[in-house]
Amino acid sequence: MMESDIIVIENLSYIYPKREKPAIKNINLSIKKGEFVTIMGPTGAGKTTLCYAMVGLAPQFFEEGKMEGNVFVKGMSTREYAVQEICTVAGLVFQDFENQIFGITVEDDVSYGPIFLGFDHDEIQRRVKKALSSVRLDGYEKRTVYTLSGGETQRLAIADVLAMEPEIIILDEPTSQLDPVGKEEVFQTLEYLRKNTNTTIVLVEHKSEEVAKFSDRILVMNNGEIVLDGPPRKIFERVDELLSIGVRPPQVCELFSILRKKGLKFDTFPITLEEAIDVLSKKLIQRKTLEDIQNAPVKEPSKNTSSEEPIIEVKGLWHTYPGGIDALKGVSFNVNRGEFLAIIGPNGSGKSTLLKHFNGLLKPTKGDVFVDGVNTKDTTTGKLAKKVGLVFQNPDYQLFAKSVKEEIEYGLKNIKLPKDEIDVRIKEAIEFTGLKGYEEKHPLLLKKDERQRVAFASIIAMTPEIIVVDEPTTGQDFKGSELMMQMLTKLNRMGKTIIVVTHDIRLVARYADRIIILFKGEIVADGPTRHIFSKYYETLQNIYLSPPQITQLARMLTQYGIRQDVLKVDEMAEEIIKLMGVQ
Amino acid sequence: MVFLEYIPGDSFFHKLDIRSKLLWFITINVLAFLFWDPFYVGIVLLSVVLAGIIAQVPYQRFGMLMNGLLIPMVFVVGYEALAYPGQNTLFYLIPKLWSFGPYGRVTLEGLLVGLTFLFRLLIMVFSSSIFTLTTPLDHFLGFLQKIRAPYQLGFMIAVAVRFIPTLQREAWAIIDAQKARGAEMEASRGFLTTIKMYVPIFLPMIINGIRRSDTLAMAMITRGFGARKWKPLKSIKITKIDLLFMPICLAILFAGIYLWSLGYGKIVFWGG
Repeated sequence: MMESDIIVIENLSYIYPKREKPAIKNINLSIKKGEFVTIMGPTGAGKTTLCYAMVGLAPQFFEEGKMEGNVFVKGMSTREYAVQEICTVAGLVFQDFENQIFGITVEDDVSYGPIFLGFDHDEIQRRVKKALSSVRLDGYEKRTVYTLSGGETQRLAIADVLAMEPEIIILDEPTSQLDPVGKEEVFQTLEYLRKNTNTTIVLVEHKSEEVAKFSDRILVMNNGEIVLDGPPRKIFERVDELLSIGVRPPQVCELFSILRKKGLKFDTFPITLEEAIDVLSKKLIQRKTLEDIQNAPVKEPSKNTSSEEPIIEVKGLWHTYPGGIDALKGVSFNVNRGEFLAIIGPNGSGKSTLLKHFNGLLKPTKGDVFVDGVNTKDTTTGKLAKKVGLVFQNPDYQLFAKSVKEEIEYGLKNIKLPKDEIDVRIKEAIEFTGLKGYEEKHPLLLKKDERQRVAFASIIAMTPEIIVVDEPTTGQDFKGSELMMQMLTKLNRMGKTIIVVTHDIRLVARYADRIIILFKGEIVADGPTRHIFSKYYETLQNIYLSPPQITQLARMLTQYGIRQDVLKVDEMAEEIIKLMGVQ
Repeated sequence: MVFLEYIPGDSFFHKLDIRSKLLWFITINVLAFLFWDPFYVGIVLLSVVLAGIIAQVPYQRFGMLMNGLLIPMVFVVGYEALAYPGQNTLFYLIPKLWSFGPYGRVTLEGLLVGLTFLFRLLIMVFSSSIFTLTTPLDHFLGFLQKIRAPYQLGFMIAVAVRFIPTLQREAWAIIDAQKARGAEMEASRGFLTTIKMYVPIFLPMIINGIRRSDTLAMAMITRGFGARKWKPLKSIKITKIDLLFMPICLAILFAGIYLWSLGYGKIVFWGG
């Protein structure tokens, strides 16, 4: 054990109570003081369990779990020292960020830790003040916690841990539940801690583009084991290996991996946008001046392939909540039959309010919404459920039945289908979502991504013509997100109209035909995906919906003759090969 | 939510210490139960309404309370008017018809006693509302600490209150999700069907509650809960206005008890 190693893990395996398979196994790991370590890996890889083990929650919190090996936190064995002692050295920010907050006001919440540790009044005040200013929540002391935004709540959770003044902070997916603004806030906080303190940071995170920027070291986990361990450049170079595990590398890495395979040679392997711009601009020949680019006319969008027959008509829609907040201010648009539409915008832009109008959960304060010719004011949500399937973000807000089959049956019974029809529909929905063999299983014993699929199956079994999905990929890993989007694409090809509300701009770029940008209750832009990303590039950045990394890269290289409306990695690769070929 | 809801403000009642308010609350309610004459109890009620105005309780709030109490109020007055063994008969609900009746004798004493009960009900409800609406939770917790209640009790209450809005939000999200699956929530079709209808709402809430409590428990111990002896920080302080207010309350209380012992405030035409 080296003096500078603050966490040492030896041959660690852990089995949860009533389970047979270990959640983590054969873990050997040393983390140096001051290091910034990021853990990546698909859902179920054991990332959270490893976090629990590093603060002693495993084995101490779970009775009858089995632990082998040892974990030392600053020399303290987690077998001998209580979690309550270890927490003064290693703090943990939980993935479920809302429920770890138990104070009524911001100040209450941050002060509980120091109070539990028995500090005097002055020391508590000092710690609260310092912790809040580190996460830039000064001035929020008296705010009640439920009035905070997602990003603010997550920063408060970080402040709670900082108030313990630990030497190590472990954060379990701190950005996965947040909107782009919230994500940005959390990354800025981490950046601040990295630069201004000597805190050791262990971060579990999927966002590889951010991870590449400030990690000293990356651990990749799969099936309970650490399969890769090294500096970001060494890890992200192994693009194919990462993808097969279910970890998405930064888009620039995917790009350079393709280019390498095509036989192009580069001195270094870029892992950030800046590096990629640098490497490519040396290889490419400048073809246009900046003025050419600025003066180049933006191509008007060509008509898309879906029919021109509107299935949803939104006319001058206003929605005012009790209390006088205008969530939507005169929104008008049509959705055509067979379209794949993405509605994007920051939190509070009115997206959720809008989507609840499609199936009549909300009725317009002013204006009208027509679904397949029927005004939603003249019908009920129960009746609209046959036409509009609305899939909510959190599957745990709807699963209640004893088996997957019964769960799917619930909606079908509600719309009063005959028994034999119900059985056919259940079978189809189960097959479509790849849940075969799960029919009799209890939905609540399934993994989160499987629960999400059950919720999805329960909606599509009702065979709605329009499928509306709220945040289809939040909290899901790379493979889960891809699977969900592929299912939606398949339904779209079968002629269904798909509407997704999402923050995941990369998925929007890959899958949607059309984008509507909503901001402060109004439509700022509406058009075909490619057109929106090139024409509203700055608008998107201003509202924290930065276009995908590959689109940003193309944009920065237009003076070398690269199309600026690139959306996908393979398109970009083609562009570069074309240009380097003619060199 | 009526219970434990606090309306921030800067009125006389907001400035009082929780112990002063408690003494006021006791005084009011003891007086209301000592006297039987609706005139006396009415005066107490008037003072409570005045207190409500001073405490800047929005009048809609009283309206809301009155709405909820309408049925018990009618019941209390009606029951006493009929059942009280008074002497001065006012009228019969069902007059004498040949050999049938008369039934439902309403007496003056009964009506007056009913009125007293009505006033007492209003006094209890209004005074407790004024008390809770002007007292933040911190003061309750500080009070618990002062009377040396176990500190976990206060902590427990605070945590429970913290999660009320979260639960409300969650309940709405679940209702929306089930409606989107074609559930008709408004239709009521008998007791059993109604219960069945709510299963898809209650079950997810219970399950999410269990998940929540796990995270909460882990978050608490990773922040040192149970490591050492600790003391909550909430403190409450007696100020000058309390020193003025408390003796006035006590004086009124004892004056009331003295008047009562002299026989004031009974119903004059008492009898069987």
